[in-house]
Parts: sequence; C-alpha cells; structure tokens
Amino acid sequence: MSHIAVTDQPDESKHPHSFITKYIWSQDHKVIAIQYAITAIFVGLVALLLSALMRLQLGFPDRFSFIDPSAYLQFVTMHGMIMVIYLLTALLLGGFGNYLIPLMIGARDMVFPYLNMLSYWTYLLSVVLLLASFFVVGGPTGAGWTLYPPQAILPGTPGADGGIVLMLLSLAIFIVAFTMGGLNYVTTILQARSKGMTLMRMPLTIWGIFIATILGLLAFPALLVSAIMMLLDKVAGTSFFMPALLSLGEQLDYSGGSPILFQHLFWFFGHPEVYIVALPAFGMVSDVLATHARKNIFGYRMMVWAIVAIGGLSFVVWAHHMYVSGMNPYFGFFFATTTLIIAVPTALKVYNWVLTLWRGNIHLTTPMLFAIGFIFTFVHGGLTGLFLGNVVVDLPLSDTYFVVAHFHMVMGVSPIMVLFAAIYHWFPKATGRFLHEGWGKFHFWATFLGTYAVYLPMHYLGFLGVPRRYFAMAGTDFIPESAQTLNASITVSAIIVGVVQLVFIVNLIWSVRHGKAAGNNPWQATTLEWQTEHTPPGHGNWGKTVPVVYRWAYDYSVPGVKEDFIPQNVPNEQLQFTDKQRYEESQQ
Amino acid sequence: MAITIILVLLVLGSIAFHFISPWWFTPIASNWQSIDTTIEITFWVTGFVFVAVNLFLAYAVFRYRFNKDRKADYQPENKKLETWLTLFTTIGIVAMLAPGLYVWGQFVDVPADATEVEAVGQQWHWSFRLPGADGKLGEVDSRLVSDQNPFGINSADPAGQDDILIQRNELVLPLDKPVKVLLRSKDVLHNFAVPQFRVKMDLVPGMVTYLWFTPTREGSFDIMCEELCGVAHFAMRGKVRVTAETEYQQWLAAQPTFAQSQSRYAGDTSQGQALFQVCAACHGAVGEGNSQLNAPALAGQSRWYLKRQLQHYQQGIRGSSEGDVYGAQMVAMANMLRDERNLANVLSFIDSLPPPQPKARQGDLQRGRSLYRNCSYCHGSQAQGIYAMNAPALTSLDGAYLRRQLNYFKQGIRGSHKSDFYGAQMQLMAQSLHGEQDSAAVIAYIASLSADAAISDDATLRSAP
Amino acid sequence: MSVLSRLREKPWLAQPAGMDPALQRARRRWPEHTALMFMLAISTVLFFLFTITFLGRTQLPDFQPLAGMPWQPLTNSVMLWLNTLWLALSGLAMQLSLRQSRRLHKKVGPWLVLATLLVGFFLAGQWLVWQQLLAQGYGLRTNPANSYFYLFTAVHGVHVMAGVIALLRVWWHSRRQPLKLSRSLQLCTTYWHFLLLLWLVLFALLTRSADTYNTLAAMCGF
Repeated sequence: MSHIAVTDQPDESKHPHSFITKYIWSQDHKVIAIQYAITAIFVGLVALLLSALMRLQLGFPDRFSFIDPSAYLQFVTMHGMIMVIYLLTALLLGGFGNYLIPLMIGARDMVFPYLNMLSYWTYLLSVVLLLASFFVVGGPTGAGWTLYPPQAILPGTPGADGGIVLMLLSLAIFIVAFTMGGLNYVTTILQARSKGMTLMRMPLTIWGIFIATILGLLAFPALLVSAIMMLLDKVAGTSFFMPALLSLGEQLDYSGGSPILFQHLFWFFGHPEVYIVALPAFGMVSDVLATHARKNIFGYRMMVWAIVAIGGLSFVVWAHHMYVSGMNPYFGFFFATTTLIIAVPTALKVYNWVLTLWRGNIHLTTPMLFAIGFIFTFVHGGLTGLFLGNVVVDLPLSDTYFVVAHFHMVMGVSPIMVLFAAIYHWFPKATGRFLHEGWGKFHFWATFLGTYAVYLPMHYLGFLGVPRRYFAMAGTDFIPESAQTLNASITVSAIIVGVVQLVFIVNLIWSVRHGKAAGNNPWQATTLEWQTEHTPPGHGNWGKTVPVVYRWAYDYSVPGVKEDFIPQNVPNEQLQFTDKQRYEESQQ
Repeated sequence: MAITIILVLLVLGSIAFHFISPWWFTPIASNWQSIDTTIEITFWVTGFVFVAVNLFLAYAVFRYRFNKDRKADYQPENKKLETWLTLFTTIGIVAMLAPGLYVWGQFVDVPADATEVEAVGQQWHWSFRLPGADGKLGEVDSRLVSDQNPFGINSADPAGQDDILIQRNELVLPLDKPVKVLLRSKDVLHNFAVPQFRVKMDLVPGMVTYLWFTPTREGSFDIMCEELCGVAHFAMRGKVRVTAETEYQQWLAAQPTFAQSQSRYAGDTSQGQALFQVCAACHGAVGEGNSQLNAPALAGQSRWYLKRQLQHYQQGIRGSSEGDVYGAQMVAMANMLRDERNLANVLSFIDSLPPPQPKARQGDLQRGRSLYRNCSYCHGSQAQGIYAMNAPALTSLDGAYLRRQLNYFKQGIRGSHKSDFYGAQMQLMAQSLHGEQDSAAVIAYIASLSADAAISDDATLRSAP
Repeated sequence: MSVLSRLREKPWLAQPAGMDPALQRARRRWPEHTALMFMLAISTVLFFLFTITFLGRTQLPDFQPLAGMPWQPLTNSVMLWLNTLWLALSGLAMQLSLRQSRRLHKKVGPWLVLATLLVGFFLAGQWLVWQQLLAQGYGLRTNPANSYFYLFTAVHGVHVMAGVIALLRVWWHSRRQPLKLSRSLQLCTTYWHFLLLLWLVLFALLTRSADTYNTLAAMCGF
C-alpha cells in the first residue's frame, strides 16, 4: 500500500493530475473530507425534512393527508437513524477527522490514503442503500431508530419486509466504512505526528477525535453483531432474539430467543455512540474557544484526562437506556452509579470552557457565538441527563417527551452548534475565504433561539407524561388542550429553524467563490493547520519539509511576548519579547 | 453585548417558564410520592448549576469582551480551583444519587402483602388476569394461545381453572392495597405506564416482568403503552379504575373464570331462527341488510363481534350518544335479547346464514389499497376480521354503513363512551383517513376485496406501499 | 515512558533550546503494525460479543448443546480436530516462510504456497463439517446451538479468507522487494496465529456440554 505520510519528502510523482483523480477518486484526505462532509450534509437535509414532516403531524394533527401512522413512524425512524449515524458520526469523524488530523499533527496525509478513499466510497454505498429503502415495497422501516426486535421484523410495523433488511445491510456496510476510516485515524495519530508533536502537545480536537475513534472501533462491532443476528432472524428464521410469540393473532415459528439481549448489544454500541459524537465536538469547541478568546485552554491536562475518562466510562453505562426494559432491576443500582460518575469529568470540562473565557479577550465572531451557544445548550442537556441517569427519576420520565427533548439538546443541538462553529472556523482554511459574517450571525441567532424554543417546552410535555413516538395524542384524560397549542408552537419554531438552515447552505455555496479572502491564518491561531504554505493546502499539505513542533497548541497571550499567539512550529529562539523576565516567570 | 443580555434573559426565562408552565406532573395517585421528592431534589441541584454556570458565562463574556488595549491572562491550570470544583460536583452528584438509589431499592423490593395481577399486552390491546380464589395464577404458555384460549392458560394446571379473565382494556383495583402487576406480552414489546402512578415497565415476550404500587386515590386513569409496538402503538390505551373495596368486590364477582369461559352454551340454530324474525324486519330475512332502512348486514359478520355489540347496546355503551339515531333504535331491540341463552341461539342462527356480496363502489382503488394497509393489520388483509385483534369483518358490510360508522368515529359519535375501548381505538385510527375522498377510496377497496377475495394475494397486500 | 507519566506532562512549559526531549526522541514508525493491532482488537471485541450473547442464549430453555452426550454430533469431533491441525500447520508454514524471508534472497514462495494450501484444507474441512451436520438434520434454525455453530464458523471463515486475500496481495506486490516482503509477512504471520488462537477458543466453546455452559454463564452473571 502506498503512503506518503511517513516520509518527510513529498512524492511529486504521486500528485494527481486529472480532474477525476483529483476530485472523484481522490486519495487526498482533504478532498475525501469534503466528499464526506457534502454527503453527510445532504442526508442530513433529508433527515431535517423528515423531522419537519413529523412535526407537522404533531403540531397540526389531522391536517396533512399524506401522513398516516405508518408514514409517521417511518419519518421518526429514518430521521433518528440518519442524524445519529449518517450525519453526526460521518461528518464529525469522516469529515472533520479526515480534514484536521493530518493538518493538525503535521502529517502529509493519512497513513493509508487508498484505504481512506475506500472508506468514503463504502460510506456512500451505505447511504445509497439507506435511501433506497424509501423506494422499496412497504417503504423504509418504522421500528424506531433503536430497531428493537421482535417488532422490527414483524408485520404490524411499517417496512418489516424490505425496509428493515436494507436498513441492517446499510448499517453493516457503514460499519465497514467506519472501520476502514477509523483504523486510518488512530494509526495516523499514533504514527504520523510530525517531529516534536508529543501526545500532550496535540490540540484537544485531535484528542477528542482520537478517543472517539477508538470508541467507535470498539463499539460499532456490537451494532454489527446485532445487525447480523437480527438479519438472520429475519431472513433465515433463526431465533437469536425472537421468543415464541404470536403476530397479529397467528403463531409464528420462532422460539426461545431474548429481545433484551438485542437491547444490551444495541446500547453497548449506542451509549459509546453518544460520545463518538460528543468527544470530537468537545475537542473542536475547546480549540474554537481558545483561539477566539485569545487565551490558552484552561486546565489542558484535566481536559485530556476527562476525555480519556469519559471514553473509558462510556462502556460501562449502557444499561441506563434500559431501566424500564424489564432487565434484572438490580442492574439499576450499578448503572445509575456509573452514569452519575460520568457527570463529574463532563462537568469539569464545562467549568474549564467557561474558565477559558474568564479573563480572556473575547472576539465575538460567528464561530465564537456558536461555541458559547454550545456551552449553554450542553449545560442544559447535560443537566437533564442527570434526571434520566438516576434510575428512579427515570421511571416517570423514560419514553416521554422529556427523553426526546434531552437527547436532542445534548446530542442534536449542542454537537450541531459545534459543527457550525467548526465550519465557520475552518471554512477559511478549506477554501481560502470567510463565510459571510452577517448571514452567519443571523444563522446563529435564529438557530440558537429557535432550537431553545423547540426543546425547552418539550421537556415539560415529558413531565406531564406525554409519550414519545405517538402519532396522535387525542383521547386521554391527563393531556390538556393546551398541550396541543404548545405542540403547534414547537412545530412552528422547528420549521423556522429548518428554513434558516437554507440560509446557511446558500452562504456556504456563495462564499466558496465570493467570500472575503482569508489568507493563511485569519484567526491568528497557533495550531499547525493554520501554518501551511498555501490556503487551501495542496496535496501533501506542507511545502518542502513538514513542520517541527516546539510547543503546545495553546500559547495565546503569553506574557512578555510581542504577539498574542505563538504558532506551534515557532522555536523559542525566534520569539520577540517585550518583557523577557515576565516571560520567564510565566514558564516556571 | 447582545449575547450577554440574551443569555441572562434565557436563564431568567427558563426559570419563569418553569414556574408558570401549566404542563407539569399529573397529580399523583399512588404511594410513589418519594419519586416526586427525588425529582424535586434533582431539580434544585441541577437548577442551581444551570443558573450559576450560565450567569457566570454571561458575565465572563461581557466582562472580557474584546478590547484592543488588553491582553488575555495566561493561566494553564489552577490545581486548587479544579480540586474544589471536582469536590463540589461530587457532592452534588451524591446528593442526587443517594436518595435515588434508596427509592429504587423500595421499587425493586415488592411488599409481601401485595396482591398479584397479570397485565397481558398484545398488539394493540390490554387484557388482565387475576389469580381467583386460590390466590395463584395458573401456568401459561404462548404456544397455547388461540381464539378459544386467548390467555394461553394450561388447562392441565388446576391453579389456572379459577383464574379470573378480563378480556377488555380496563382493570379495576381496590384503593390502598399494594398490587404487584406481572407483565406479559403475547407478541412484541409493550410498556405498562400510568402517568399518575409514576412507575412503568416494559412487557417483553418470552418473559414476565413486574412493577408494584399502591393506588391512593379513587378515579380512572389512562394506561399508555410507552414502548413502540407497531403502527397502532399510539392507539394502545387502557384504563385503571381505582375504587373502594366494596365496589371492587362487586366488580370482581361479575368477571368470568377460566373454567367458565371454556364451557359456554353453544346455542341452538332452530330456536335462534324463531327469535331472528324480529331482526329480519330490518336486517332482512337472511340477514343480508337493508340500506333503505339503514340496517347493516349481519350474515357474514363474526359471532363474537355481534355479541359484543349487542351487549354494548344493552349497556348503553353504543347507541346512547347524541346523533346516533339508528343506534338508538337498536338499543330497544337489543334489550329483547338480554337472556344469555337466547342471545347464543340468535347468534348461532346468524352464523348459519350465507354471507352477502355487497355491490362494488366508486372510488380510487389505488389510493384505497394504500390507505387500507393501516387497517389490514387488525381487520385482516382480506378484511375478514381477526378475533385475536378484536377487529370485525368488513367485507359483508355495505358501503353506506361503513361510511356512516367511519364518520361517527371521526365525529366522536361512536367510540366516545368511556367503556368503549375498541371504539375509542377506531376513533384514533380513523384519523389517518382525511376527508370524504379517503373514506370513499378505502370503502371501495374493501368492497373490491369481497368480490375477488380469492384472487388477491395476502402477502403483497400487507406490504403494499 | 509509560502512558500515565506521559499524560502527566505539563506541555506549556518552555523547553530550553536544543534540549527539548520531544525533538530528541527517534521514532520507530510502522503504521501497518499499529493498524493490525487495532484490527485484532476489533475482531476480538466482535467475537467476544458473539460469545457473550451465546452464553446468554445457552441459559434459555430451548438450547440443546451440540456435544456432551454420545448421540450429539460434536461429542466425537475428529473432523474438527483435523481442521485444527490444518490451521496449525498452516501457521507453522507461515512461520517458516517468515524465517526464510528474513534471510533475504531465500526462497519464500513454496512455503507460502504450502500455507495457503493448508488453509484451503481448513476451509474445505469446515465446509465438510457443515455438510455433515446438515445431513444429520442439524439445520441452521433447528436449534440456537446450531445457529451459533454456523454463525461462529462462518464469521471465522470470513476472517480466514480475508487473511488469504491479504497474503496473496502481499506476495504479489512485494515479491521482488525482500525487505518489504519480510515486514509484511511478519504481520501476516501474526494474523495467522491470531486466527488459530481464535479458532481454538471457538472450538473449545462450541463443543462443551450443558454443564460447562451453565458454569460459564453463571460466572458471567447470567
């Protein structure tokens, strides 16, 4: 397998020349990253549309004739699955991971560029299969994104024939794609760092991506295992997860399997998945905050330890999704304890972000606004997680809209705030131009306030006890009329937020050609990706030699130094001091 | 600047929303006050952190906004501060976790004097089983489930003979007595949740799960299925009625046991024929129905359904609501069949009649076929009706009658009585038909099914787009 | 330096010019090796999870083990022992080919052909075991134990086939570069030993009696 990252000299003969090798069958990590990002954003828009459709039904029931109970469940399911797997995982790791890893650690490319390319095309195949399920007889599966058997593969659930089979196949292929990409990310981080880039000098973005990828590599097999076994149950009639049961009044051939086993497997993947999304977001937001506040990240070591600790703990909390699943109730004691322990490192991260801003010199640029929006929404989502993690508090709240509101806050809104922050922050590197600042600010305000107007009230529907995944709420004694009014207002806010994203898309497309020129290091950042010779960087990233790293990633506003930032590749000898003594004191 | 103001406003607004929100926990009706207390503690701890962190954030953003004459501080870490923060967070976590685990201990540990009740879930109905005089529930096996034995009780087990079977969506419980609800599912995952009781648990096919509570307030409460169980998940509702002990005993005495349910009088066709003459005046000599008189066909309809409807008329569950003119007529007629044996005889006679063939109807068959997919899960792909799903046959009914009933469901004329659970479910399902055209299409499709029932194929229909 | 002490470094402290330990360290780079280690970890997790579900499934009443009683098909597992032998010998051939390739310019080809052939025997042998089980009426869906037997052997078989493809690729691409070949062969050989180890664990797991399963499951807390 050919790779150029390991040698220090760029291999001229490897540079692609035709359009096809440069932009389609490209092995350049930056092109692959953009391919990943565009595909992920495209399916993300499909999922956004689906969420708007299901919000229409909830807000204005009985008004839209194309939404029947089956269609509603299909919207819910596909919205969830696409957002969690095909958008967030793919965009954060496939998109940002691919783009940033080699640039931030000073490598010329991923260590296995061919494998990297294969990873993207396999991902695309999984997306095609996923979308194909919309066009098979019976439509896509409507089993909820958790795909719980037995109902997922039985009639009575929409898409129980073709839809679920395509879904499982698509997931299996996605996992293969992710594994190819993930092997590349971890190996590149471990083996291709440039000279002087010790682990503790890596920016937190890389730490987040690194640990998240390890989580992914070890957690996705659980999903693969459950997908294979469920596929066999569906297609070959085995009974891994299927007990003896009836379906719509008829006895079926299955016997003896355990549906709970599937749930354990699913959440053994599903919980780390939360952190597969969260950790890269944690990392990227740290870098955005430090850069735009002109201050080092507060408690860098604590931040790294917290990422590692959260990563480790995320494998022993999975059953907090299953407190009311009928599993042995004594498990509740263990999993409630581990779950609440994980809150400690997470809380420390929040404190450190806020303390990074404290005594900073804060530029309220669009990326910074999104980062602040992230802190606010993440605090909200994290705290509501303490309700659900504490086993007995979960009893009245699980399977209600409180859960929906919580995970959208913590896994939907806050990572997406980071994604936007990251796009506004790194877009100038990828294209050489800024995104339009005014439209960016409008985008921020509408998204931030709009999503809060959607999800804050939704928690209260959960307190009331309104169950999730209901096509219609009518006909109960305990849900008052006013809840319907609230649902309508949530729908209106959600649709406004959805439409505003089009402004962002237009901004993206427009700015590629017409945005303000940015130069090599527009934010005056310290990390290596901003120190390239060209913007956007060419194939091989660096000019004649790869950069040598002399310092950590957060030398902002170092006392006694003339500039308020020192790039990682600047040696001490080249520093210009205003007050050398103060500088030396600060280094004690 | 704007961001500071907005952050402060959001914090204040969230607090204000919390206090003025009319959407809050339903008034509790069980012993689980302690769960509410734990939630309150959680609210205080998390609320404090929410306000403190976000106000600090807002202040920091305001205080240290960009100033070209100032340089940011340089502070890689502060061990002391970080230690204190860790400590405070840990204390907060313990303050929430300790009471939580204590209360969970109570939930796991069922009191010895709790009486057992079994709640059986199936797509999309509830039924219940009580242990009967011997205080023991009989053995069950899902392989034994059939139309004659819907609970799948093993008839060889003597403990099962006196089990009391409640084949409807309503459970009655005595006030202030702890109950352990054993949960069993016949088909897929379900969840037994009553918001006012605070507790819930999944039903898992292949195993028995449980939860317990003590009802502390009289009243009727909704049982919601809160685990996605298929298309009609949202329509899988039940009721728990909590009453005083005396009323509970009366109710209990009226419920059949397993042994009784197995030995019902079968009915006599010839005696039924004589009784049927009264019905024939409107419904026709061979029960073929008469659309001039607004009387539906009876021949071809399932016996169990006719029986339930007659009983509903007798009990004022059907035909009593305003606007149901024809139903009101039927109430008087149904009252003539109050005798259990007479009822069985008439039903036996109707059973022996040949099913009529309703006329084909105008309507968009393609659309009808796709709309009917949601109906087919319960009513069957040939609209033949499925007893296990509590769904009557539709094929023998003429279009005018079907349309009228659909409208009744949509307008709340039928299915609004609090004991008409199946009607209430139809009200919800009828929501998926929007407007006259949808109804016409679905009715035309149903009519086309009875015409060529033999031709069309079950498998393709269930998965029709 | 251990991972823990590395994680305690204070990276913000200035390093005196020319004394930065980070710049002194010479780095041994072998990305393929790192990637292989991760791959083995992933496969281990995969089989570990299958095994856990398997042990959970053994505790449900309809599970009938394939071995333990004289009439059960795997009680007398000569065929499986024979297959194990093929796989072990193939590993040995790989080890020998690796030794040859380290003494550069020695013939490696014959040993690789032998290793591939032996692995082919293994796969064919597994296929025969399947046929035999089917002929005796132990179909995929007749019992969960059978389902797991087919599942485990199939997933292991896929791993073996992937190994063969990788080996052929390595040989084709570096047949004229002895140094590169020897490095790649080392990785292949490691993978071969992993396959054998994995198979031994699966073999042991699939041919236990009900009592052993009960003990194992009890240890896992089922």
